[in-house]
Amino acid sequence: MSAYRAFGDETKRQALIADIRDKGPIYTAWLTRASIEGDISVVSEDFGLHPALARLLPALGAFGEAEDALPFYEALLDAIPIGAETGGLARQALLLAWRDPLYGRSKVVQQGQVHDACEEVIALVEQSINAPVDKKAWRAARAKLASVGSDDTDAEKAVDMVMSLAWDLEQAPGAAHDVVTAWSSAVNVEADASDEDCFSAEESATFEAEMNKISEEAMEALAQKQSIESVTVEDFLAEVDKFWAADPARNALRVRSKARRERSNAKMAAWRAAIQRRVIELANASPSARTVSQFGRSPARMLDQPRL
Amino acid sequence: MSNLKDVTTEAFEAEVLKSTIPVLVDFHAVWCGPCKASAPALEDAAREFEGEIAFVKVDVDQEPTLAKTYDVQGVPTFIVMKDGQPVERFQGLVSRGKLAAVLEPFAGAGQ
Repeated sequence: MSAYRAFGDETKRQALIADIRDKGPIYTAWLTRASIEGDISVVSEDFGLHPALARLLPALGAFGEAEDALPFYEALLDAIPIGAETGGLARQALLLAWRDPLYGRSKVVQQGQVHDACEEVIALVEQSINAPVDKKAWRAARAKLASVGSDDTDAEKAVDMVMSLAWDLEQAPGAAHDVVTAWSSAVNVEADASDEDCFSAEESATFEAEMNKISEEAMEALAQKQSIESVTVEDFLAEVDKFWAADPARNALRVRSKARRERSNAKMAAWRAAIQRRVIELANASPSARTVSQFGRSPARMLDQPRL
Repeated sequence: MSNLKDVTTEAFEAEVLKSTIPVLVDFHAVWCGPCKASAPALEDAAREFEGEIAFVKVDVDQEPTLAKTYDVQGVPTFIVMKDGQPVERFQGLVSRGKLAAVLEPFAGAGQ
């Protein structure tokens, strides 16, 4: 498996925690959306976290945009034993995307060929926690899943997510990020669809048209008052607010839309909190410590021992 | 080193149209965020399907003729070419899962 061993010593762990705490939500190059395209190998090289875990963390913390991200990062990093191989933890965390009783995608794919093909991929992910999986096995599982396909939209999203699970994380650690992004997107769609005040197709079209129209009107109004280059995001949003407020009829749609977004965000926060809790539990359950022993290296501290 | 080769209009025929294996063409632009965000997944896929599927990039600003020929309206646009013909097409930020789903049927025994 990988040569990465967590932290190296307690000082490094604390340095990473302090670094994240100091830089807050704007941790350029790692815990933000920049991590999608950026090279974050330095996190693994300097702090010994498996590249798949390093890729997983920004997405699990909502790319630093969620207020609850910092305690999660601290608790997780604190739960990982020094010297642990964290690729296993990353894989176990990813398995939640399929198996979690409440949020896992297994429940949206009906029993049958597609479900079976997904389960074959999941079995390989599980196998890869303890031993390398041959490239041919990944390819065969992916080819089978691609060949069975699904006509159901919800199942299709789940299949896309499982396709991202079907990569060897030693070769393609970025797949971890793809899995969580696909999972989060599917949960978001569900959250929107189950809202108590869903827009009809007509209302959606009207709202989108009004939004575009108001954006143009606001920009034109600002352009008459100041140069376009000097318009800030705050200026623009304040102007947009004025236009909405000036027309109670169309503003009603906006009020409903904002309320829906808040309810949806709350559901996403609940999902994130549940998954973050499960990932911390997994770290505390010591599979990493077992993996370290399997490879003949002793971590500085096992999970069931007091910290020095 | 990148596994995605930049191709020009002049090289397109040799690299893509006359390729003996399927080719994924990534129509991109240097200013495009989703294009940059898709790059790591494309690199992984290019490594994974090496020898079975070729991966090339076309900068739409540098090669407008190619973009027009293939009716590229936005970036990134991905076109799978086989035997000189487009056989699959998709747009937007791409994941490894999406690439696997699209490309597996064209790779190895699936060709």
